[in-house]
Amino acid sequence: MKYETLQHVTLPKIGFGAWRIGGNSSPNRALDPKSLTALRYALEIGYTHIDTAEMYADGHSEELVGEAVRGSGKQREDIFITSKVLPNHLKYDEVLKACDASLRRLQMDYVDLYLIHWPQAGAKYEVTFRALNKLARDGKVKHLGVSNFNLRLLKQAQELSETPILTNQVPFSVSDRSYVDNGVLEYCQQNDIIFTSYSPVDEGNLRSNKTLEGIAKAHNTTVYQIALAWVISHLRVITIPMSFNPQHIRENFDAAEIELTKEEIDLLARQ
Amino acid sequence: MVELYIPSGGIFIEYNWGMKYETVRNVTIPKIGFGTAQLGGSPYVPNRAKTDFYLSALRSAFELGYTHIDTSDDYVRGLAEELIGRSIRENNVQREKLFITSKFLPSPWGYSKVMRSIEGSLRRLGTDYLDLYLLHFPNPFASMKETFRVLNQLVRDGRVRQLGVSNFNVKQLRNAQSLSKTPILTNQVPYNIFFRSFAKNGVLEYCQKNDILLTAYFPVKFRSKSIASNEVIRSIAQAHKATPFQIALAWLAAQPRVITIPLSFNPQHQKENLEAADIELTQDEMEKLNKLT
Repeated sequence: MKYETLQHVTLPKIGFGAWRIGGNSSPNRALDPKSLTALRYALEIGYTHIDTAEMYADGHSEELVGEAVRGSGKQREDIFITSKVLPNHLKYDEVLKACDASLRRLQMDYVDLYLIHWPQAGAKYEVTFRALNKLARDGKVKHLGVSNFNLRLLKQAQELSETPILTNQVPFSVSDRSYVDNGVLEYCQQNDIIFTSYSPVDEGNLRSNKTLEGIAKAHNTTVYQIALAWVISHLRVITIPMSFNPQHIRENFDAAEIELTKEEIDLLARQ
Repeated sequence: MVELYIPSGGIFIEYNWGMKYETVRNVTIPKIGFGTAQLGGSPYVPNRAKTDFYLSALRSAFELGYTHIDTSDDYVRGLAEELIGRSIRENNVQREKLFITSKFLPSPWGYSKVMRSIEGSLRRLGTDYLDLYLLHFPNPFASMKETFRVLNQLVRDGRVRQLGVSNFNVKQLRNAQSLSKTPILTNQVPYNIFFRSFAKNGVLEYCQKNDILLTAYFPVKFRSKSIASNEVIRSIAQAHKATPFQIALAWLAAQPRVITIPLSFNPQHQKENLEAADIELTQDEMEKLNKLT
């Protein structure tokens, strides 16, 4: 595995995204065996960063993540857990309550990273961050971050946060460069902020093309692995692909070992 | 010295340890085996610089009398199997005295993939058969029917003596039973004093009622603090002049149909783990431990 280290935090380039774990917008307990298999397998083969949210399956994702980590043989401190607060919980008391509820579902004393899931028009972020800063001071949250924030909001979050903003989690893939175009990637790279790419293979809908296929063939990998390797070839960028399929969970993890050449990276960047 | 006859293989195995055993379907396996999940490095990163360290840990395990060795084709990317094979050769361990379990991940590419997995495992282990071969995880994307077609073939060919599964719930286990021509010998699941999901979801009871071994992995969660510092466990440990980890293992070993496979590279811990099966917990102590969660 390759890592990004900054602000005394080391994060693996490839983590496990736990959206769809436990259901979509509401809990789907019939899916539990599939969900737990995916999480257990991921932990077994060495994933150490799991990304979840109170929104995922309306909290059930967090419950299953907690269950899988407890059964994994890993110590809590060996696993890095990210969770997120919903934009309709951004008032002071709501943030504190949402975090406590997440911890209760995870059955953990703290989360390593807590993000605002996406920006809310009209939100009073100074109030939100008063609560987030308290959570950080109380040790319930080790690091703070944001998700889907543009450059202006990211800078505002930096000003309001007592601890450095660790990450901005945004969509980024071979076919989605919106957060490169809007300057967020460059800003993160220049300001020691981890840029967490979600949907790194467009939720499995990655459109293949000759370039991807050619590079995949040269490395004896799948096109998805090349797409992931390209995403994490960028400085400060980590990613959190999701799959229920153990084979893919493993291939995603292994993608961190692929060494793309400078030419290959440039070729893919021009797609 | 105990001599045990295993009809399935027609082999005499001698044990000179006061070990306890589980016998199901004419197969006898020690309550305490040797896990190798991190033999050779961290889960997916081989550390060849420490080869001598791992080989000496294996050697001491063999010397202490471990006979059930549990591994998998993907532990440390195959290095665990490679080290086991090397240690067996270098220490002249008689193959027939060992019970070797390995595992593979069922894949959507059924036949050829399973064949590649078993051939790789046998080559690395330097043996021509496995005592037990497990489906490492239920894979919702693989055809169980196709997978068991190959596994049944492997049993007929003698390359595998027994079949089993790992991380299966009751429904998945039943399905495996219906597809396997030989009885499913075990379901290997995470199970320890503080993690009882597979008791709560009915797997333990189902195994006990249907003569299936429940092989508990992570039995002491890498010597976790929660076990070491628990007052109830500590006081029982004191009464038996044992360590808290031994009590956690004895709690598992005391349960019918349960065997376990702790992992340790430290000879002292290896010995303590092995001896834990000999600790006789009283009914009162068992009840106290059962109440912990």
